[in-house]
Amino acid sequence: MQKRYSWYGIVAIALFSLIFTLFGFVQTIRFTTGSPVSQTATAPGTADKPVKEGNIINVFIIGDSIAMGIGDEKLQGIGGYLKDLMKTQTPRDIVVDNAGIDGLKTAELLQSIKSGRMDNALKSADFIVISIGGNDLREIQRLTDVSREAAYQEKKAAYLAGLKETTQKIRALNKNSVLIFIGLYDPTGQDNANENAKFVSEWNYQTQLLVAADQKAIFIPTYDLFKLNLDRFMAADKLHPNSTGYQMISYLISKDIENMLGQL
Amino acid sequence: MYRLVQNEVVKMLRKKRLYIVLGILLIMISAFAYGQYHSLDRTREQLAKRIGMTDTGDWRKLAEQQIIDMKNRLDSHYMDEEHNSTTRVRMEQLQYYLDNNINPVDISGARFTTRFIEQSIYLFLPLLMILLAADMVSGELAGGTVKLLLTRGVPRWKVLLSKYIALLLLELNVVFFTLLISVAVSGIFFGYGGWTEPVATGFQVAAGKLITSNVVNVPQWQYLLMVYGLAYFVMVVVGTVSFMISVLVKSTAASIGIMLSTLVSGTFLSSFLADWTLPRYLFMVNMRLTDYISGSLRPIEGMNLTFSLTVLAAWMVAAIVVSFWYFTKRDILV
Repeated sequence: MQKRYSWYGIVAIALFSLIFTLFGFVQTIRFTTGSPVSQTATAPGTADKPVKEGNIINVFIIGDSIAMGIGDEKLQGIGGYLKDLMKTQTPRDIVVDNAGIDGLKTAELLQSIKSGRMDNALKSADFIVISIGGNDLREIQRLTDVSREAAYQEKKAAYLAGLKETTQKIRALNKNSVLIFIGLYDPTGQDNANENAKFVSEWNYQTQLLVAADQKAIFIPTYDLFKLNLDRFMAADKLHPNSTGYQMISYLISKDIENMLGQL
Repeated sequence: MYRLVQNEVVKMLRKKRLYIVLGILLIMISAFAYGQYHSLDRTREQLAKRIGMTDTGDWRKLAEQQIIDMKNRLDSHYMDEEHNSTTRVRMEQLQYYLDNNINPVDISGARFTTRFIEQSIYLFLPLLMILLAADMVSGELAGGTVKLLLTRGVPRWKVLLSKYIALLLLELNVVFFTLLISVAVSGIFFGYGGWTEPVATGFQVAAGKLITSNVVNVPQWQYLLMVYGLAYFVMVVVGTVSFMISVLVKSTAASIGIMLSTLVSGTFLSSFLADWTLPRYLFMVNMRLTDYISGSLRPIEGMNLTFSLTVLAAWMVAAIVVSFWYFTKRDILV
């Protein structure tokens, strides 16, 4: 008798799980093998770019998450605050275009500039704000202490070469714009303070040397600004600036370009 | 035929093989849940250290900020459409965690149950199938009982078919109990909730790239069924191949040994898949089916879910054909 019960039990359970596994299997096929959505190849940012007109000042922001404004709870970013600040300095209209992509590294920025899809925006820009390099530098933090120094030197060399080429490409398109490089700050605070401080500072210094070679390029230092103010200027993710942090950076930029803005 | 299948199932149960399998499952799932429970503690600790989360409510602030950032990202017209769908899916997930006040780091019983299958689909579950299937025919050949079976005047193919059906039934039972034990045990550690938690799926692989433009969120219960559906498919394929081996060789030890080494070889042959095309036609490197739907894979040119399913199905059909052909043709003397 017991034998019979266990047989019916086996069959009942088997039927039940057959139904649910079949259901799941069909679902899987449905989700995974639909024809891939055709990648809309509309090269973004080519169509409705601001064209240079007499009364407009174009600001073009490129680079990583800092350029994009990640971390700002008010969704403004450098673009928003800088625009407001510049309005107080000039009667002309300010048009800001932001091409920041979070996670972008130097090589990727160079690639997207080479691709030509930002050409129009670059050509018509009066001010080009560039924030790049933070993601390159962050990569070495995952490494062990032993290999870190060598990796750092390698990354730095690649970064500088990439940045140099990026600048050249931009200058080939637009000789007169003001290039504004945002320096790196150290988001880690106390952790490995000495080593990070050295890395970031040297990185910034080398960037500054490169920027100095260009007559119309400026470097916005953020390292000291953030150093003792991390809790005030950092967003909840402890990596990006918050609204106040972005406002401070924008303020520094606006002061640096004030005179230039009058001459345009 | 019905009586034959019933007879085979009863024989299998009498061999206690199913209970051994279920016992192993219970032990392994408990160990896995316990391990997860401990590593969860460590993850929380590390996270707290890295981003300075001390208050238990701090994750909400972080999640809210992330949602704002992602909205920002969706507004940028320089982002390509492909990124946008992953961003949208991620936003929906975070919103769910916020709405239901669940810390995204925490594991629910439902999530654990899914994860257990994802971890065990390519080795652990197939090994259990070998335990069930490897002596189905070879055991009778070795013990000589096959003569009693075949002198009953039933065609040989019917005998073999009843054994195969019995195997399929028991495999379904294993799937069911895996789900049951997994939910029951993990619930003790992580609670019994999480069934409506959104999970991202719909990843596709084309031209060696992971395509995320079709990614959508499905509730955890549905994702769970998808994963179990794939697991059952893999179990059937391995069971069938193992069944074939047990028809081909006389000794159960040899049968188990062959299957074991085949499965283990699959784990290291997988590392050549990108450069060497031949191994991808082997069934044992195509068993990580759940990686395709969770998107957690290193995409390889020419391999996607359809490909893997086709390879597995081809092996299954071939194994069935060989089993029946050999069993009806072979001489059984003595």
